[in-house]
Amino acid sequence: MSLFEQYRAPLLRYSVSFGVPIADAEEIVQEVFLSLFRHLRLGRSRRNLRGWIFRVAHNLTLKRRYANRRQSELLDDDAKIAALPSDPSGNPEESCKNAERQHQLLAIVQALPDIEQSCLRMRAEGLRYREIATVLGISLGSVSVFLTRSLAKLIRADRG
Amino acid sequence: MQDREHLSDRELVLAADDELGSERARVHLAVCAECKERAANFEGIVAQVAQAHRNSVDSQLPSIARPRAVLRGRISETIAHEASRRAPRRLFAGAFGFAALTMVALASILTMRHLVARDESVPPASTTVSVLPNRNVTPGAVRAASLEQVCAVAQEEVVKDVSPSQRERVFAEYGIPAAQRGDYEVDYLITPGLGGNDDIRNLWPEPYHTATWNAHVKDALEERLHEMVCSHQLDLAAAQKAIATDWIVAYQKYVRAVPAKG
Repeated sequence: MSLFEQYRAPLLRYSVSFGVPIADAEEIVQEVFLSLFRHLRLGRSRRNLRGWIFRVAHNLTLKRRYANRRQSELLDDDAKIAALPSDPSGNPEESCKNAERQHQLLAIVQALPDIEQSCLRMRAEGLRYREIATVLGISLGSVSVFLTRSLAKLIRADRG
Repeated sequence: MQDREHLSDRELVLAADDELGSERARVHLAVCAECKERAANFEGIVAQVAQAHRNSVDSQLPSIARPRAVLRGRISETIAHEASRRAPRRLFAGAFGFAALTMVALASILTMRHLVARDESVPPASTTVSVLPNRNVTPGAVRAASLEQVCAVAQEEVVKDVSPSQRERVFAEYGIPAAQRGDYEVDYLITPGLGGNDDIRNLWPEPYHTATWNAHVKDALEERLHEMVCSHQLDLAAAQKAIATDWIVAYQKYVRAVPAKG
């Protein structure tokens, strides 16, 4: 249960950032940890459990997103991001500026190709490059290329 | 003093996770203020993305208390289900197995590994059925399912149970006497998570207790192939063919050469 407590919020954030509703993301996290329970019960490897957990969450998230999009024919992700509440702390003007900047940042991330988004979001959740490579089934070199591209785009956009 | 040109963006990104291969690049980064500043910019953007995600999502997250209780309940249900599935074998063994298993399952998750260890200590009651199915009797059968349909199978259904009536038919077909049936899992050759169906040609009695290649190991292969198919790393037809042709060879190819010791 300590792993559940440690990774529930990062996994929810990861799933939600792909446009999956929170209720669905919560269900995905449940499935991830039931799978983890079975994985451990069968005596399988305990190495890199964080990577294992994110890999299952990643696969389930993409599956769920695909299913949701089939059902409702494309939700407007940018509109959903815009609807998310911003940080209420600080004075109103500062808070507004921060919220706007974060909104812009998230909108740019949302516009990146899926693979770049995945790399960036997992990095933002603290995963090592080698863990990200395992989750996505790509090489360490590819992770660095995707991260470099996404960060360069964000910096360019930041400079206006 | 700088002994080379500035680092590329990619080198700076690699340096952020201590993956910079070149010693010269590391030395350059240590002394180059411009490269350090660019590296800090990259890391700053990652931190900002992380903060933006937290700010936008965390305030909406429900309390952990209910999800944690739900997960505990589902794990307990899983254990109880496993115990009831194996109950006949324990009754045949005449050792209070079912009652003991059920009580322990409901009492604590921590005892599960112990129970599994006990399962594995039981010697096989029969060696009449191989770890591979008889291809004449069980060639495998699939339903007409698209990739989307296969991937819509819930994670816990990837390894699905067979109905009691189908179990009886399969045991009869393979000629396994009632007293030995508890030592086998009637398994799908091609799992539903890969498009396999309930046809008798897709079911065979798989031994639980063979030392290396057993039902638990095949379950791991089934999950792995499902993940690969649904993440577009492997074609569905190729996965079906691989597991139907020789699941041990498929395990060695797609999971690992030898199963991990339980």
